[in-house]
Amino acid sequence: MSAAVFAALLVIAGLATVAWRAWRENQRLRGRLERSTQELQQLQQSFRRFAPGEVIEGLIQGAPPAPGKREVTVLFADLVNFTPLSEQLDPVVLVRVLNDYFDRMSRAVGEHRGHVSKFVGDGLLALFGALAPNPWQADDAVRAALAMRAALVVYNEELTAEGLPPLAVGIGIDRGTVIAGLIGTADLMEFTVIGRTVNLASRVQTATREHAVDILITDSVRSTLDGQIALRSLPPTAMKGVAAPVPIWSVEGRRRP
Amino acid sequence: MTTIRDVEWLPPLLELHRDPARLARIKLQAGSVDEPLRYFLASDWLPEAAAELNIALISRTYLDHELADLVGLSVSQENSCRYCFAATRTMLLMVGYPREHIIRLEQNLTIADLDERTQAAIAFARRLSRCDPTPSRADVEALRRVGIDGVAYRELVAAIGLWVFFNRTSTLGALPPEPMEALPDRWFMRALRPLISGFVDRTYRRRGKAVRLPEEMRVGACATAINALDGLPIAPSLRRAIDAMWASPGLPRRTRAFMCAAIARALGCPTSEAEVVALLAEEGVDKATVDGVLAHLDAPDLTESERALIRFARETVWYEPAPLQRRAGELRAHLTEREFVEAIGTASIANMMCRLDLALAVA
Repeated sequence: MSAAVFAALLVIAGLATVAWRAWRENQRLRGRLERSTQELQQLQQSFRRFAPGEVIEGLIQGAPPAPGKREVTVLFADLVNFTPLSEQLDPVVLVRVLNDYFDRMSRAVGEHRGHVSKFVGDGLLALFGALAPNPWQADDAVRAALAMRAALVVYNEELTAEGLPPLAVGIGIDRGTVIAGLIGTADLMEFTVIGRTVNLASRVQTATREHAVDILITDSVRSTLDGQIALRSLPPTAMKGVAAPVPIWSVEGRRRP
Repeated sequence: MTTIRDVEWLPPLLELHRDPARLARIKLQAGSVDEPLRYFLASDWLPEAAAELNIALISRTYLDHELADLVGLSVSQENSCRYCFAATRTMLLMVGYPREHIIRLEQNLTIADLDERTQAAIAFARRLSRCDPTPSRADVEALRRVGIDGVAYRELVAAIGLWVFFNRTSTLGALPPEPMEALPDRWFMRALRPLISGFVDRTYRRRGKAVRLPEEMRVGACATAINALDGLPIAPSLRRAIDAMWASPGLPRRTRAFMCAAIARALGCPTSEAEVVALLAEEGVDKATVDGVLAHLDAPDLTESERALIRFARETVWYEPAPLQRRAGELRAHLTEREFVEAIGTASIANMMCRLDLALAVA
């Protein structure tokens, strides 16, 4: 074999190696691109649990939609006497108990077409009809509250078996028009709602202590329920920030399982 | 890392059946029989309807195939339907699109650097696939600006509606997506692709012909939407599918109507709702019961299975597969297989027809 042929073969082999490496690198990058693309798509889909689709798309395109008014049902839940309880328990146990509680309550909300908007200390704000119009939002919220009550009974049995004190919850529900939108700063922003309905749900939740019940609803919720939910009328109750006493009802349970 | 393949998807809720004689009849009528039809053989109308609607879906008269396939991919993605997403992706690969081009197509569904016409069609498809599907005049205007109007608009709407139908049947029955997802990467598919791409292209991407609806097909349930699609191959197929569904004794007519009413109310479709309410009146259902179902999904004189089916129907407007499939599984335990398949078919048809009504009304 002449030196020229040998040199040519060497050049060809070198080029082939370079080409093969480039092809392999290309395949690797293409694979990464494909995975990133699918991940992005799925992320977009996952975020629909926290904000309406058009809000997510607007954010991706750099043009979030303007805030708007929506008819929603607001459920506010808060643990009763949690501060003294938190002082008794070991911090590690306390956080575990609180996280388990939130997990079970959030599941009850999600199973009834609501979504948890935020956790505030030991409180939970859930919205029904905020992500998409829901004609049965008040009915869903009350059923979610009943599911939360049932889930707490089960959880308390587990806590008692562990030698831990049981939890008690107060839930307030109101329905009305709110302003929904992205609220916060450029660094920390969330899709949430503001307005009188949110405040009233919180106040009604506080009134559960006064009336020694666990679920209270306002007239705007009661008026949309059917006879399947057993209610008990309570005396109109004065609430902070509301001019006249607010008519409220205690939710006793479902007439039919 | 999360991809559409990681979307939670329950084991199949339906069994594959064998009925060679019936499948042969369907093949004779529709031209082809796909495997999924065998899951629905407990129904006396759904396999035939699905086969015919599938032919209507793949027969494009005014839209180009690429745009229509992209719409299918985006609607399936929007509904997290792993089965239909994988089927569309596989079909695109088999007809010979280069893999890198398909990756770009998938990528463009998110980052939107496709041409304006395709972008507008995909945005509209996503809008109409959602659980709050009512399109605005601005949505329709955006399509008109890129040349999708008139009969092309109606064909686009029909394609979206059909994908919604197939997404629902696949998701509610939890048809197994894994074989379809793995198919494009099988060695024999890679090796044989050049040979079979022409066959797949001819089989799954047909050129449809304008078809006028005969006078006798212009009346009946959902006439408003079906007549608005006159001229497209889908119109007579829809007429036959809907008539077959209402004629089937697999579920009582009033039960089906209650399911359709709940879906119409959930999707905010007054046309469909009014039509179903009129049908319930014809069936002798009193106004208080209808009002109860629409306002509370319940009424005193409903049967237990009606109560369960109405609540199930309402859930089917949402897109998350696993919770839907769990509800479907709970329902399955209380129904015969035939009733369960009928419920899937009814909910799928209602989801499709409400969206067609909403989109056609805006235009």
